[in-house]
Amino acid sequence: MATPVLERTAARPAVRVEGIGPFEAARRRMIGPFLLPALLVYALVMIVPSVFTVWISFNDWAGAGPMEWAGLGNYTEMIADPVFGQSFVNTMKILFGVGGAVFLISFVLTMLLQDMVGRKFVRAVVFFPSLVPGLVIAILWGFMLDPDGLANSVLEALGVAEPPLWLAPENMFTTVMAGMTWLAAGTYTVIFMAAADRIPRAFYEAAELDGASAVRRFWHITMPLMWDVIGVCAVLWAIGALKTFEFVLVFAGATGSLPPTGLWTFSVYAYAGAFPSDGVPRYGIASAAAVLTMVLTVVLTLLVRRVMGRRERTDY
Amino acid sequence: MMISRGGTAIIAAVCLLAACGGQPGGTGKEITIWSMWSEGEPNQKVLAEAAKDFEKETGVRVRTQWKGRAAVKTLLPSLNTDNVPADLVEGNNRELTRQFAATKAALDLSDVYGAKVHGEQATVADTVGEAYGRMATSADGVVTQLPYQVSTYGWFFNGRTFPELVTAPPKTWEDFTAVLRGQQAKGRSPLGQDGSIPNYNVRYLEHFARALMGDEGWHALAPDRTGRGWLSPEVLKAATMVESLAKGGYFPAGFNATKFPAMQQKWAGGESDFLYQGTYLPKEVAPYADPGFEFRAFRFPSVEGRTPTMNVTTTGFGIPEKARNAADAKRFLTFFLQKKYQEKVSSVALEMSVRKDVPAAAQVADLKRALDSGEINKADVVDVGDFNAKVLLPLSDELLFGKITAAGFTRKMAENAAAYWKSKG
Repeated sequence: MATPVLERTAARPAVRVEGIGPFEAARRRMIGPFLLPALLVYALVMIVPSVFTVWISFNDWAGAGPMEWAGLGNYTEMIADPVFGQSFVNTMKILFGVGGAVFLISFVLTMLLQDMVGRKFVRAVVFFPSLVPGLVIAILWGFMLDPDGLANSVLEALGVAEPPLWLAPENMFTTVMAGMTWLAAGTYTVIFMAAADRIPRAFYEAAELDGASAVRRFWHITMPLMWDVIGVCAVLWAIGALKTFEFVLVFAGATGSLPPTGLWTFSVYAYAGAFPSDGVPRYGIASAAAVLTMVLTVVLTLLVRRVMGRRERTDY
Repeated sequence: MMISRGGTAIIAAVCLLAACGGQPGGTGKEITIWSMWSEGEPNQKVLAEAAKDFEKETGVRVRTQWKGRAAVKTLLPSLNTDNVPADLVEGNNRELTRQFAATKAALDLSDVYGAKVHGEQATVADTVGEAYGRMATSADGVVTQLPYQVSTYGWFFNGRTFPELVTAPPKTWEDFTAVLRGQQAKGRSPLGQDGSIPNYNVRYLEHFARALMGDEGWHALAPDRTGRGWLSPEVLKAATMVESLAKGGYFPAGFNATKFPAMQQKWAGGESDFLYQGTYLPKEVAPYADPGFEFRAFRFPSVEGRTPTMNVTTTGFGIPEKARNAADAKRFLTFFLQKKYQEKVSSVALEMSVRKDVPAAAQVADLKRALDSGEINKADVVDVGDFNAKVLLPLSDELLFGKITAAGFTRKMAENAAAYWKSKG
C-alpha cells in the first residue's frame, strides 16, 4: 500500500461576486430575525453584565447602595498591592507549570495507550477523576493528606520514616497544583486519544516498516495530525487556569474564612474583595481583578491561537 | 374615582394573592425573617417558637426562611431593588454594621432601643447594655443591629481531667504555662490549634498585645499608615511570647498541616488538653468528644498583671429600609428579647444571651460572668478586614509556625504595613 502524501489544504475557492438568486436573497434576509432571540439572550446574560463589571471597576461600591466614582483608583491600588503580585505569580504557576505537566502527561499517556490492549477500559479509568467534582476531591484530600491520614499511613507502612506534611503552608500550593494536574490530565488524555484515533493506521504501519520508534511516530505523525486539537485544548486550558477558584477556596478555606494569601489566584483575589470574611465588601476592586482576568484571557487566547496556528495544517 | 366592577375584581384578586392575604382572623399583616440558622439547629428551634408565639399574640403572620450563615450576604443584592424580600435579617454585628450598613439601606433602630421589652418595664437599650449597643452601631453612627446573643472566646478544657481548674482557673500566663509544662512532662502536646485558619492563629498575639498595650493601643496599629507602630516594644514583647509558644513544643506535630476542623476534633477526642476557641465550640465538637467530656472554659489569663478584655461577637437582627412591614418587624425584636426566649438561648441553644439576668450554661459560666462585668473589647469597631487578611495574618502565621523570629515579625510588619497603605494611595 502506498504511503499517502500529506498535502497542504487547497486554497479556498474565490467568493462569487455575481448577483445572487431570489431564494438566496430571501434566505439572507431571514438570518437577522432568526439570530435576534439568541443575540438578545446573549447580550442580556453576557454582554450587559460584562460591561457593568467594567463600569463597577471604576467605582467604589459595597454591592448595593450608592456608588462612588474612583477612576483608575482600583486598578492602581491592585497593581501596587503585593498580595495581587502573589496572586499573579500563583495564577501563572498554574497556567504554565500545571499546564505543562498536564499536557506532558497527556501526551505520554496518549502515546502509551494508543496501541494498548484494553485501552477503552484504561481510558475510562484515566477519565474518572474528571467526573468527580473538584470540590469533592478538595474536601476528600483534606482528610486523606492529614498527617494521620491515609496517604501518610500508607507511606509509613512502606517504610518512609518521615512522610511529607502535604498540607503544611510551605507545601500547600504544590499540593494544590498536583491535585489540579491529576484532575485535568485525564480529561486532556481522553481528548487527545480521540484525536489520535482519527489518524489512519496506514501512517503508523508505514512508519513502523521504516523502523521509526514509538516516540518518533508520536512526534512525526500523531502530533502534527492532531495539532488543531492541541491548539483548542491549549486555549481551553488557558481560560480554565486563569479562572482557577473553587479548588483553592475549598481546599484551603473554611466557613467564613479565606485561604491564606500565599494560595490566592486572580479569582480568589476578586472573591476576597467582594466577599471579605470581615469587613465592607469592595465590588470595585473585585471587578477590577475580574476585568484584568478577562483581558488576560483574551490576550492569551489570541496568543495561543497565533502560536499554534503557525504549523501548517495537514489533511489526509 | 370610579372603579369598574372588573377593576374591583382584579384588585381583589391581586390582594388575595399578595400581602392582603393573611390568616383568617388575623390582622392581615405579615413579616418575613431571613434567619442565619439552618433547620434543626438549636437556635432555629428557639427562634421558631418565638415566631409562633408572636403570631398568636399579635395576629401578625411570621414567615421565616432558614437561610444559614450567609443570610446577610444573600440579601445584599436585593437591596438594589424595590422588592426587598425580608423585613428582618439575622447576622453578626460585623456583617450588619459593616456589610449591611455600607449599602446605606439599613434602617436605624434607635427607636427600638428606646422602646420597652414586650411585657417588661426595662427598655431595650437597658436590656442590651451600652457595650453591645455600641457594637451594633456602624461607623456612620447608624444603629443597624439589635443583638440578642453573645459569643466570646475561652480556654476550653475537660473538667473531668482538670477538676482543680474548674474551681481555680489559672489567673496569670505564668500559672497557665506551668500547667502546660506539667502536661508536657507527661508526654502530652497540651495545646490544640487548627493552624490552617489564620484568624485563629493570630489570637495569641492579639491577646498578649492587648494586655500589654491596651485595646486602643492594639487597634491603633493597623490604621497607622507609617507602619512604625509595629516596632513598639509592646508589640515585640507580645511577638516574643508567641515565639516562645511556637518554640515551646506545646502544639501537636503537624498542627498546621491539617484541614479545619481536624485539630479541634482531635482535641475533643483527648489528643490535647486546652483549646482557645469561641463559645460555640462545645456544639461543634460534641459528636467527636470522649464520652463524659465535661466542657469547661476560663478566660485568657493576665499578662504582666493585666488581663486582656474579651473579644465579643454579637448575633442579632437588622431591618432593611425598604422592608414592607418595618413596624411589626420592630415589634418582633422587642418580643424576642423577653426573658423567656432569652433563657432558651442559654438552655436550648447553649449560647449566651445579651441579658445579664439570664445565667449561662455551666460550660461558659465563667466567661459570662466576665462579660457581664463589662470587661469587653470596646475598641474592636474599626474595619481592618482587608489589612488583616493581606498583612497581619500571613506574618502572624509565620510567627506561630516558628518560621520567623519576633524581631523579624515586627520588622516585616512595619515594612508590609507601610507598603499596604502606600498601595491605597
